[in-house]
Amino acid sequence: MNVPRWTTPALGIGALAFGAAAAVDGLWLIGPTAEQGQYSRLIVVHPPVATIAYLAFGITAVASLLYLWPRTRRREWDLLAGASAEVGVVFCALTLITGSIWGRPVWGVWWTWDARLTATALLLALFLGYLALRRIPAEETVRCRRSAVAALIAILDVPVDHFATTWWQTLHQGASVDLFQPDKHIDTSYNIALLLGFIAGLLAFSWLLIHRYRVEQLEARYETEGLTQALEERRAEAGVRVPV
Amino acid sequence: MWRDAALVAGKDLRIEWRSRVATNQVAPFALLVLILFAFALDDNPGVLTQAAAGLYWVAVLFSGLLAVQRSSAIEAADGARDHLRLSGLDPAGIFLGKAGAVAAQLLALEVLLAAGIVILYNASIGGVVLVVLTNILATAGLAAAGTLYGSLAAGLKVRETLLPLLLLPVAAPLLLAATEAWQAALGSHPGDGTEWVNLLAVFAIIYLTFGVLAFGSLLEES
Amino acid sequence: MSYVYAGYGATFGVLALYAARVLWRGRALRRALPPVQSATASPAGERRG
Repeated sequence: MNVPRWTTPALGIGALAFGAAAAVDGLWLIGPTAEQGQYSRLIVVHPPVATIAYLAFGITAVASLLYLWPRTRRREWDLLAGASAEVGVVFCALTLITGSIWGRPVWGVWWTWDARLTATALLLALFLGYLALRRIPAEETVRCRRSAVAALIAILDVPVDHFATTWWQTLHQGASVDLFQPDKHIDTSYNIALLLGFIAGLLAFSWLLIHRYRVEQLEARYETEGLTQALEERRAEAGVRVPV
Repeated sequence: MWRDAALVAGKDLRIEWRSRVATNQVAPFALLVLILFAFALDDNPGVLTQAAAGLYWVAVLFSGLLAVQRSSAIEAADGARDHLRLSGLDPAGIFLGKAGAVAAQLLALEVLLAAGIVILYNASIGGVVLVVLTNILATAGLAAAGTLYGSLAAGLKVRETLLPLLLLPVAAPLLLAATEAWQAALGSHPGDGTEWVNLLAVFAIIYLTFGVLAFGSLLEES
Repeated sequence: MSYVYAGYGATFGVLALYAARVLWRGRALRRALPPVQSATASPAGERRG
């Protein structure tokens, strides 16, 4: 990617800094709430990772669309889709983990089959399937095209997941933040902590995405060049053993 | 497009009729699943009746998986996919035809399984309209999603394990909605199940649309 | 409160582990590949930065 050399380290340092700030704020600076006591502090980790997962899968879907559209078809979009999906799967798994940890003391259960949780679990399964599809032993165009189609179907679960708390009766609470009335449900100190969490998450995601994209590029190169090189090395070895 | 669909559906169903895989293997498998569930849950006889709707749809789903595997396997042999592509048939029509054939087989299996749960699980099917509507929509959704994912996994040696991994999460909402609707029909849940039928309709439309749009580009690969 | 620490710990921990994994894979691949010929046209994708 042609960005200046300092961008990724800057993102990384920013992520660490905001991550530290968010943790300090969440664990020590804000106080417990009346509704959930200390457990509300998890608002700094759980909603941010969930939102980032949506963002990551959204990027995968857009990149997949761009790949499928003949006029914009480039391998780079496929690489981006794959990289973003893997990072998204990590964040989605974290969503379920942090959610489960939060649910245990507050709801009394590690898991329940309400619409929101089920949709999120489904989302993870759908994109794990997508990642499996990316590894099939087939030609590049076949792999890329099939993965792109799978991504576009899988992304349909994101709006279902997001609106699950409004469309159905769920144990999972509805939105705590109203973008137009920030103080409607939670107070300012929590809003700030949540914001720090979001910023940290976004920076971490960007850093991870860039690095994962580079790995995807390298793997693509390895497929073509690496194989040729391995064959040459094998031939060279054979040349040494077999007298000419 | 519809004529091509009918052509392809006819071909698939004729192949099925001649090989009798659905009747000789998938149907017994489906019944076997029902019986195995009974073994697993038999301690408390009331449990089976209560769970009948869910167990029914799980059995349908497993049978559907087999039917879809078979449907995509037909094209895998002897380069049939290339022949299909070169035949000049409308890809959307091919998709609808294959999905239609799978749907027809599934519907037959569903009738058989329904008889199975009435007899084996002591279920009583009350709301017939609800049941028929649910089955038609759920089958349409399953057949569409199955055919679409069948082509995503086509031609690969890993197809047998990849297809369930891809298809089951997509089929899960269908399973959920169909079970809820059936529970209303079997009388184990209050309510009339209309919201679930609506959900099924939405999913069926989405999967059919996707299939019609995407099948062409999927068929085009070398 | 231990649940809160577990939640924060899991988040930072998993992300740190994943970051390490991505960096390690990048390093391994770079070692396994021949160096990019920067004089000629660069292969699909790999650009500066």
